[in-house]
Amino acid sequence: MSDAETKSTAQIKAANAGDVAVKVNVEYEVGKPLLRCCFDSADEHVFAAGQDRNIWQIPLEGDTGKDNVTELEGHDGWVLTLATTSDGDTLLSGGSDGQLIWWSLQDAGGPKLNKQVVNAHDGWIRDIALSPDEKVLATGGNDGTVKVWDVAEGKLLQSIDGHKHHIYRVAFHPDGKQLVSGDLTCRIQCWDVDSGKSLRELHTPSLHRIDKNHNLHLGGTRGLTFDDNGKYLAVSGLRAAPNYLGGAVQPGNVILDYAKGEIHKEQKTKDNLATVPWESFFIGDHILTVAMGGQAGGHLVFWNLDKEDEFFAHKLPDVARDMAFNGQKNRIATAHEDGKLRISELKIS
Amino acid sequence: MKKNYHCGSSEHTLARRSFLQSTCVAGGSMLLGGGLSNLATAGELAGGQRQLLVIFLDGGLSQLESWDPKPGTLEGGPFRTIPTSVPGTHISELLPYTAKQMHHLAVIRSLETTENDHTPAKYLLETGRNQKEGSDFPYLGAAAASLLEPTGGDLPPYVVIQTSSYHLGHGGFLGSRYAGVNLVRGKPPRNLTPPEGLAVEEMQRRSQLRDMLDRRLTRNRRTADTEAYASSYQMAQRMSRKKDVFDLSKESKQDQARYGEHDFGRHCLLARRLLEAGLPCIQVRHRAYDSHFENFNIHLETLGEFDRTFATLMDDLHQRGLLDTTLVAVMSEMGRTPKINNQMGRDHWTKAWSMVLGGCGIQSEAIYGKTNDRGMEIVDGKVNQGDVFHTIYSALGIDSTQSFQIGGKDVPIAEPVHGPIEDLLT
Repeated sequence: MSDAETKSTAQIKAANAGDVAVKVNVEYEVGKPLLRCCFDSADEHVFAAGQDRNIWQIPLEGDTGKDNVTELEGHDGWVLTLATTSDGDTLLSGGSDGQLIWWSLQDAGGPKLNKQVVNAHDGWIRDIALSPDEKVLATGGNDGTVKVWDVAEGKLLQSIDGHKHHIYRVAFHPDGKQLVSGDLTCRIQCWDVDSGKSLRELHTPSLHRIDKNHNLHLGGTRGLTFDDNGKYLAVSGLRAAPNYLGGAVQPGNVILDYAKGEIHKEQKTKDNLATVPWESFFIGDHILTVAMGGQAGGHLVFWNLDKEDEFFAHKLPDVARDMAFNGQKNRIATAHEDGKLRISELKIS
Repeated sequence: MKKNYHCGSSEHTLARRSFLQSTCVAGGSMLLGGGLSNLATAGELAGGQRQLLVIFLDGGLSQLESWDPKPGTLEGGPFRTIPTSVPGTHISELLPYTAKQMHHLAVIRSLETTENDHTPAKYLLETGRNQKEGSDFPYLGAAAASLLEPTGGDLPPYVVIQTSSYHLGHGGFLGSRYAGVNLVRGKPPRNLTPPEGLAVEEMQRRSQLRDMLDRRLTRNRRTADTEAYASSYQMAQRMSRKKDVFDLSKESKQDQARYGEHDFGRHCLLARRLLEAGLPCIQVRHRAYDSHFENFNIHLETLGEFDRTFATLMDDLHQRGLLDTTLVAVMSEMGRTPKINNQMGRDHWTKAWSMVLGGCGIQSEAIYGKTNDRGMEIVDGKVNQGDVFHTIYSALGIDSTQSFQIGGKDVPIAEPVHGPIEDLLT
């Protein structure tokens, strides 16, 4: 246990959302600014990646110092996205080097590089998503393509063009038959997984604009996640950018009714926190959780689907850049700029 | 001929200007008269007149994402390096097209400057001097234009092509004659075409009347302001005769596509057109490098636009023989910190940064200076803006130790305590 245990405990009553409590329990020192994290299926390790070529395997029991961290070497650029399979066998990673790597987690000697696709994308791989049955995975990257891969064999099944700009996020619909991808302009493309055909395009214009003075896009699909039933799709991004180059940006979510293809709710933070949404997840079918980091520090922010403003914002000790839930969704790992991985307990009643 | 500006003269000349070649205008004008139909011979027609093209990357290009990458280090960022057309020279993977043109370019990787805020830093890199109270130095383009400009041209000696309408390219103590004419969004100067229905004869009569009134007004009270007023009218009249030079629609659709359907593409194509027309000094500005926030996403976008267009321009200048007489400088007012801040940005940095020169007078393929493994400090060949200005003037064939005579005083055209970087000069 660290000092962080006593730093931040908060609880709030939320209409239709029950009580939410978040408590940072423990923090692990990695020593380099972190960007990504995910739990293994056994809830024994967290994998983290950051401003480095390596992935760090962090045991959740035992020493919390750097000496207890195992480094996985294989990428030739920053590791920008991670995912683990629920059978505990595989860690997947994608990087700014365009490489997609399968890591075997069942070897006695620790994680080992199993399969490696050197040029999976032309440029950065920004996101990996596993299908609900975990038979296929999707990747999206700066080349504007979505690629669908066989998880077991590592074979490319589909290469789908359809975005004119960098793809930031990919996500599977809970039915496993559809896949969505969101790009720099926050256009959301919906794809049939088997055929790779376009089904439709959804747009969230409040999350994108062009700075005409600088000829610069202000946007980016920072979070893209379905609720458990697949009724709603939450798109997180930047709803305002009074000074984009200086980091004065304001986060927002657009909740889409996926079946209707209509906007259900536009959301913001009460205080217009100057932060970037880095990752989003639904808890059940009505609470959206977003990890944020930026000028205003780090936060975990919780929205009810039907409300414009959050019902709870939990301030973290440092800028957060990613979060991951464990399988039971009672622990949250957050990756931080200060080189620490933090584990928080989450209670919802 | 040298006169004191404040005593009524319209001329602000270099003390020993006679060494300059000045044969361009006739050639340039003839070329324009021919409708730019034979552009391949533009360099030839210019008769060896040297020209200056500055690509100014506004806000501060990251040297780590461009000319001096440090992959695999904590500060290096997510990008890899790529080989270039110069064996052994690597630059950021964000510049794949430029990499193929590096044999035309030289890189300075060891710049240290003193100004960390944009306004004084821009003044420093635009004038070669620190901004002090009362100082009024001309911008590089204006100063070089005054030293390069042939007499009697119908085109302005110096233009600034940019997206913003913020006026740039000050003439300083050289006055308005050499101040940059700003072409906003690549559009020609306004009102080059006479009002509809106004006959040529009527225009001439109006002009004669204005000239007569000007002469009467300035007979006993000549001032910089009245002179600037008259000068701007004269320039406008001359430019109106050459308005086609500013008309990008005269360029082929193919070339417009090659340069890119964006402001920077249009601006660089216009720069090529103006260089071919013999205009002495041109600055093209590209914006949004001040990436305190999400430096990597921003450089992906800005350099993604810069790279192909700049490489196309360099290739064209080479193919058309213009690189033999044109000095190209790619510069910013500062670099960016090796340390990545908590917003994934890089902040202002003046301790160890980079710029690029190429074309006439420059030793192509050269890499000058070196930073340490993490890009935190210069370990070899430290230079500053004064050295760069001497180098630019020298490459243009201008003796950088000469002085302007202003108000009876000698004002060195470049800081005398510095000198040209000899290793970069041919």
